[in-house]
This record gives sequence, C-alpha cells and structure tokens, in this order.
Amino acid sequence: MNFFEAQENARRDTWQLVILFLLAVGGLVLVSTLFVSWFYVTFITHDSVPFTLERYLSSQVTYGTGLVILVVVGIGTLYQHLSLAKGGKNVAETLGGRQLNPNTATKEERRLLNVVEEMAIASGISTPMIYLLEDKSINAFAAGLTIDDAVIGITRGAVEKLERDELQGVIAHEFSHIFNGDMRLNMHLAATLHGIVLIGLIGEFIMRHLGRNGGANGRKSGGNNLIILGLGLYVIGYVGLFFGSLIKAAVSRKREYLADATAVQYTRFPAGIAGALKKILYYQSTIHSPSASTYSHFYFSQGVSSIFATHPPLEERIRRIDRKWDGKIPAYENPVEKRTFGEKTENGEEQRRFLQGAVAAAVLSVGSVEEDGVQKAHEAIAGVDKMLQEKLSEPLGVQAAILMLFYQEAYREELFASVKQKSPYLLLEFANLLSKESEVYKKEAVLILTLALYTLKNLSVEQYRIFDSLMQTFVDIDSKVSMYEWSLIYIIRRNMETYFGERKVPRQLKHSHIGAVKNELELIFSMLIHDQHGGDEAASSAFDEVMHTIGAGALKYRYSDKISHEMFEHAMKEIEVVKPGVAKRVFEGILYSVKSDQMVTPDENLFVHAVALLLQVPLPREFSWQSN
Amino acid sequence: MGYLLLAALLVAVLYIITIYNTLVAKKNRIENGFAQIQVQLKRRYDLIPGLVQTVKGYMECEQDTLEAVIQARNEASGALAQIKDAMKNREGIKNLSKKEQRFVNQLDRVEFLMEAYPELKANESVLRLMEELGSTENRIAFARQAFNDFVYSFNAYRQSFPQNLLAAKFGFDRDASMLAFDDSKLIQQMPAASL
Repeated sequence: MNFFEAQENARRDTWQLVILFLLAVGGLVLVSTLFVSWFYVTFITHDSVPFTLERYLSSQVTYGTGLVILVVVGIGTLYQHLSLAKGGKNVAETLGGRQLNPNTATKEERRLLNVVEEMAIASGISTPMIYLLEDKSINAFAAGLTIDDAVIGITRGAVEKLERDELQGVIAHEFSHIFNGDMRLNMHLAATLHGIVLIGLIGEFIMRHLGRNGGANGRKSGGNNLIILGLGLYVIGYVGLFFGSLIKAAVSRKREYLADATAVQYTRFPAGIAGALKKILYYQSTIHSPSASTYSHFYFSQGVSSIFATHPPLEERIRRIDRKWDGKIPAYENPVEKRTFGEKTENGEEQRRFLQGAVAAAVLSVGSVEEDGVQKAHEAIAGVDKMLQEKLSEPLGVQAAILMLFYQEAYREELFASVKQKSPYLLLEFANLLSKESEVYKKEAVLILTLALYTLKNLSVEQYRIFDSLMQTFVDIDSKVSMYEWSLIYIIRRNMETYFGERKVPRQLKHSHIGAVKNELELIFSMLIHDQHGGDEAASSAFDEVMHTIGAGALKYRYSDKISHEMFEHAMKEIEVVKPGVAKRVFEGILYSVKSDQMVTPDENLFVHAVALLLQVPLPREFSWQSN
Repeated sequence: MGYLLLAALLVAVLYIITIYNTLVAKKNRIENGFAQIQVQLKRRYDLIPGLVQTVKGYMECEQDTLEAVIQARNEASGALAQIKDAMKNREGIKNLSKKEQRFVNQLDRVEFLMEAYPELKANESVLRLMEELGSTENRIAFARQAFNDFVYSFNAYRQSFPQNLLAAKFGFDRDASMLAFDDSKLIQQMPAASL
C-alpha cells in the first residue's frame, strides 16, 4: 500500500464530500425559504399575480424567512454542539470503560500501554488516557474533540486476542482519528444535521397542533393551509436529513480509509492492521457477542454494512491495505486453547471467581474470612447461570443486573426513561437482561449482590454517582421504600461509599445500654414480625413470645398502622450508633424476630445481611450466600 | 475598487503569516522528534542495570558478557549526556552512534545467551523487563521513523509553491536532513552468519 498517496486521496475525497454537504445544507435553506414565502404570498396575502423568481428575489418576505430559517438551523446546530461536545473521558465512562493505570496493570495491560506509548511517539501526539472495556469482541474507539482531551478505549477482547503487531495497528488507527480530528469533523456534521431536522420538527409540530386547532376554531381553510405549510417543512427537513446522513456516512467511511492508511504510516507494517481486521472478520462470523452491536457506531469496526454504515466493509478495508489478499482468512484457533498459557487463562477465570468469593465472604460475613467460607461462596458462584455471571463481571452489565433487582414492572415506562436519560448504553444492557424473569433473580439478591460488589468497584467515582442516582430513582418510583429495597441499597452504598472513602462515619457510638433504643427496637421487631403473620393480632402474640425468649419482655408490640417508613429509617440510624455489646443483643433480637415463623424468606435473608453490616456483627452460618 | 485591493492585500498578508507559522511549527516538530529519540535511548540505558541485576543469578558463567554490556551501556549513556544542541553537534552524534552501536551489539549477545536459560523465560520479572526492552526498541525505531516523517513533511512543504519563494527569506534556507544510520551499509549487505 502506498500510504501517503492513499492518505491524500482520502483527504481530497473528504473535502469534496464536505463541500457537497455544505452545498446541500445551503440548498435546503434556499428551498425552505422559497417554500415559506410561496406559502405566505399564496395563502396569507392571497395574491393572484403569478409568482415568478424575480418577485421572490425582490420580496422582503423572502429575505425575512431566509433569515429566520438560518437562525433556526443555527440554533439547532448550536444546541446539538453543546450536547455533543463532551470530553473524551466522559464518552469512555458512559460506555463503561475503566481507566488503565500503569502501576496496577496486568501483563497484558502493560503491553497495551506500551503499544500506546509507541504509537504516541510514532504519531508525535502526546499519550492519551486509555480505557478498557470489559467486552469480548475486538474493538476500539477514540473520543474527545481536541488532542489534549482525547482518550482511546479498547475492549478486553482486543487486548487478549490480538498479537502485538495487530494491537499496534488498531491503536495506530485510533491515533490517526485523533491526529486528523475526525471526531471533531463528525460532530460538526452531526450537529448541522440536527439543525436541519429542526426544520422538519417544526413542520411536524405545525401539522399536529396548529393545523388541528385552526380547524377547531372554525377557520377550516386556515387550518388546512397550515397543514400544507407543516407538511412542506416536514418533507424538506426529513429529505434533507436523509441526504445529509448519506453524505455524513460517506465522509465517515473516507475517514476510516484515511485512518487505516495513516496507521500503516505510523507502524510501517501493513500486515499488523490487516491481520487485526482479518481477526475481526473471523470472530464476527464465529462468535456473536450481543453487546458488540451496542457500541458499533464510533468504533474501529462495524458489523453491518449499508449506505448508512459509518465504516466501510472489512473486506474492502483489508484489500486496500493488502492488494494481494486472496480473500482467505486464516483459521484462528480459539486463543485460549491454542496458546501455552491457555491453562493459565482458565486458571485466571477460576482465580477471579475465587477472589470474588473472598470478597463476598469478607463483605458479608463481616468477621474474619474463613477458608471454607470462601469455598462455599466459590461453589455458589459457579451455580449462577452463565449469562448472568458474564454480565456481573463487566461494568455495564453489573449496573444493569443491580437495577433489575430494584425493577418494578408497574413503572416500566418511567424507569426506562430515567435510565435512558442518565445512560443510554446502560439502557441497552438493561433491556437485554430484563427479558429474563427478573423475579427469579430477586430471590437470589444476596448472591448477585456479593458478586456485583466486586465488579462495581471498577467504576470511577463519577460513574458510580450516576449509577447511585439511578438506584435512588428506582427505589423512589413508587414513593415507598420496602424493607427489601432498603436492605439492597444499604449494602451497596455502605460498601461503595467506604470504598470511595466517601462514607460519613457516624458520630461516636452513643447508646451504651439497650434501653436507650427501646422505641426503635419495638418498631423494628414489630415490623419484622408483622410481615410474617397475617394481621396484627397474630403478630402481637408472636411478638410477645419472641420477646419472652430473648428476655426483653418490656418491649411492646406496635400496631402496623402506627408505623411509617420514616420512623423505620430513623430507627435504623439510631441502632447504627449502639456500642458493640448492645449491637450483639440487638442483632440477636432481629434474628429471633426474623425466625418467628420458623423460616427465613429471601427478603429476610437480605435484611439480616444488611443489618449485620450495619451493626458490624458476624453473620451466623445459616444465613448463607444462597437463599433457601 | 480601493476596498477590494485592501481586502486582497489583507488576504495575502494573512496567507504569508500562515506560511511562516507552518514552517516554524514543522521545524519545531523535527526538533521535538529528535529530542524524543534521545529520551527513548536514555530509557533503554536505564533499563539495562535492572535487567543485568535480575539475570545475574541465573547466568553465572556469563559474568564477563554482563560486565561488558554494562560497560558499553555506561559509555553510550555518557556520550548521550554530553550532547548539547543536538541538531548541530555532528561530532557528538557521530560519537554517540558509535558507542550506541557497540552497546546494541553487546545487548544482542546477552539476549542471545539468555535463550539458553529456559528458567529465565519463566521468570515473571524477566518477562516484564523483556517486554519493556522490546517496547523501548520499538519506541526508538518509531521515534526515528517519526523524525524522518517530520523531515519529509517539512521539506515537502518548504519546496512547494509558493513557500519556495518565501522560505529562504524567512531563514529556512535549507532542507532538513533525515537520519543516517550507521547500519545503513550493513542493511545493503547479506546477513553474515558469524558467531
């Protein structure tokens, strides 16, 4: 490949397309101006003189509407500019990326960081930040509008499956996007398209509202006329969008060729990037990763090819790099099986699970981590179904899984809207996961949570904040907080806030004897026992029985209509600050209350876990990872 | 008419300013590219003591070779430290590339000898060092390549119309020269199998 020539060609083609795009936008503004002033003259002033081009050009109305339309397109463009102009860091975090740190990198991550620095030298750009996405497909992206702000994201699949040379090619390709300012160009085009759409949207609005209102007011002809105006603008806007998108996609494809050619310039090794593309082609046809399509649009490669595709077909890209390519793809072995360290990788999987187990044991049994506790957790984890297990090991999946635990079908639309607004990529994961029976998972909440916390700690503080506010939305949606929800969110927050060092340590432990929290205990015990026995009467006698057993006969049952959620939350806050000796007794009381009907439901199990964490007391063995 | 002339003049002045600025920027990229090569050379020198320290325990019979590589490394490193104003100091560069060549030969020898110790390849920190060393070698190569690309870009720009009329007046009267490698001659020859 003659890369300098290929670069020049791609640059020239881009400019032609951009000029075409600008002409199209100009033409569009012109057409809509003519249309609006035609409408004005014909329907508003009812001028019977035939309308010629000369009259258009000499009319004040034409210039007025032209100006208005320019302003409309301008505002639409500006608005979209502002909303698209997010830093590269932001984009990478929305996609669930984790920033790589040279000090904590594994061997493979270290190799990646080295490759990135090599390419930074080859391209003469300062080293951007690197984000790793836990995804098995081979892909990468560059984001950020300026060179200082740029980041590169890459999937775990790429880091593991690609050879060093191939990885170099992929990274060089992304550097080329940064160097050539492709993200910026793409943003300009996208924002301008948005301005054009605004014309169509205004047309739609007129058709829907003004047109109908006109009719209702009895001025039937006025309404019909307005519908003509609306329809015209609508058609102009969307036809403009159609052609604009075509050109934009064509520009994007040219930039991909340019990036490929520049990657060859940086590495001087065409076989590297060609090899990476072939590997993608190979894995695309063999493994189908559902989440791969989630991120297709601004990635290194794209699965589908059509006239709207932002990437040229892989075969064509390979052919342009390697003219002699015979169209054959080497049969790549499954790297895990082929390589000598294959066993190690499997071990890695095993090890990760073991680690998760250790974390789980430490988190939930609060006390010391015992060997068989870890073992037990390990076995339980292996029992979780494969799909969920995979989701729980990557940042977006884990968020989706936790949200699923909070999910309530009755508020489907509101919940989906809130996820969409906060994090569109999460929405896709979430929708994927929900197709399964989420009620089944709620019973496994304790286990899912223990696995989730391990992965959740990979989020950055900002990512977690967004997620936290989403959880809050899910809890608040029915304007009441159940014991289940309280326990769930308490366990997550307590762990995460401690991890981020944001937890507000409670004021010093102040209650040194059990009498000080008498009211609170009455309330909590009553709630727990009430949920197990139908009706206050049965609950009341069960309550007395339990109190008798634990030697707290002085406590009185509280009727359920005298208990509100605020009181419950306040009570939990109070018992958080009891001294250790008292905590033990409080916990004992809770255990007996939970077991007053001789059995432990998954919800109760979760609550006990949360309370153990809150009181910092060890969890008895019977409250295990799995619900019964 | 007068306004048109003024506008044309303004555009011309702006264009000339752009040419000047581009020339300066491209020249600076070359200088930065050169500095980058030095940075990477230094990085490689810094890796050597660690490598020797790690493999010393395994390669007891090869102490001479290890000492020789340290020696060569120290000399090359010293030569690098002496270079000031690298773009003009031809004598210093020549000295450096001679020392560098000797050092690379020694290092190749060590790497070759390491092949004979399978336990070295299983050692995690050796593997890590080898990755770093390999990466640094890549970086040096890429830094040289980037330098040459910058030179190419500068020269092509300087020689094109209308820059060729102005460049000399702005003080950019000469093409920048690409890096010549000491091994350029070797590259032309058939590889000789000498041990």
